[in-house]
Amino acid sequence: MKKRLWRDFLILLVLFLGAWIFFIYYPVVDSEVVKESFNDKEKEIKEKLVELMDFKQADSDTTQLLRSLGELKHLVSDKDVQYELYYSDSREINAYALPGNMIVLNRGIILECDTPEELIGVIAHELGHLKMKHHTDQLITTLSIELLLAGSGSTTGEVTKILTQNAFSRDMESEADDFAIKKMKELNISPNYLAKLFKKMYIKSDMVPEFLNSHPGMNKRISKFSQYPFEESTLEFTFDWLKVKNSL
Amino acid sequence: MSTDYYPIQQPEDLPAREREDAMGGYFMMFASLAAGLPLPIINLIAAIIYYHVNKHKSRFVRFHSLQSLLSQLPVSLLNAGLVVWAISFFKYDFNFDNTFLSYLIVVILSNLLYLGFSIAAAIKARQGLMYYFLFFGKLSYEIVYKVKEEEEQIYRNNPPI
Ligand SMILES: [Zn+2]
Repeated sequence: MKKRLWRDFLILLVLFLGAWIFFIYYPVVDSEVVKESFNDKEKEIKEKLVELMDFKQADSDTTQLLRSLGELKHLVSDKDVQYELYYSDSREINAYALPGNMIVLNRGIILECDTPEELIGVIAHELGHLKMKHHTDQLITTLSIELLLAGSGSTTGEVTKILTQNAFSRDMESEADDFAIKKMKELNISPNYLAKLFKKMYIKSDMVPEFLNSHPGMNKRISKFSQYPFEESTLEFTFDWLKVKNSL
Repeated sequence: MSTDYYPIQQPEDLPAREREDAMGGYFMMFASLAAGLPLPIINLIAAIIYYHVNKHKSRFVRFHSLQSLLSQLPVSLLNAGLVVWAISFFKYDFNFDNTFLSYLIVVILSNLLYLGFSIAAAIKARQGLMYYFLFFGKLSYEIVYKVKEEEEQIYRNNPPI
């Protein structure tokens, strides 16, 4: 009986491994094809989102604003992340990173920036979220909790919540801030520029409670950026920031 | 080492209640699926609890609940492997290649096979019949029906003939 048990066990194992190896060499669909259709789907969703939210892509030559945002985007780059920068006509003082490597800047936060350097800091912070794949972490955490807690019915609701509220954890914000500091230093911009922006936002925080909710520990974050002495940046831009802001 | 086995009950000796209990083991997963708990570990816990609740009932019930529990182990492991692989794939940019795709296909096939055989076994159990899965059937039979040494010692007093 023992021998027959072992024999059966081996049969099962061979069947499993055999099937696995078989499908590696004779796949029903090739992984490249699947990957391609995933990418197409992602592109489609992105296009729908851009259309739905009426995002304008930086880099396009249509307006002075989009041209200058494109210029900032070229400054804040990372070899691992190919991202797209968008402008949204919302007065909320916020910027956010979306899955699919999109960064969106609201009109509200652009108007809040007295200098382009502050906006570069904001973009760098959001790029940090993308680079560290915080969306994936967030999605995995939420999905696991969903799976543990209840049905598949409410999953879509939670996912939309992540996308729109952008509620990253304190650790993630801190990581994104560190990334922003690193990027700003590379560009010879004092991280203190971001401290200035955060202070302005903090004062207005009663107006934008969501932002504080999603970005906890504002005081701590301000002091982190304030550690760096303020030095006027020597970066040259082809546009006049005040004119750009006035065009909004 | 004893090679004695307890006799297998025949359908006419099995009351409807026991047949239903035997069937129940296989239907645990449907219940947990319907409750919206697709995590493999929860099905497994449900199966373990079901086995422990029923292990003092007849050997027929025990055999079927054990078979459903044991056969669920590798399927749950495969499913868990898929979840872990998929997560690391998102997190570390692993290549979505044919090795993964093939594993995915095999896992889906295993789940379908498991589902099909479980339904067949549940129907047989309801009819008061034994149904042996490859490997797990024999293993459960060994565990449930084999006369263990210490149990033999309980029957030291024998009739005069
Ligand atoms: Zn952030």
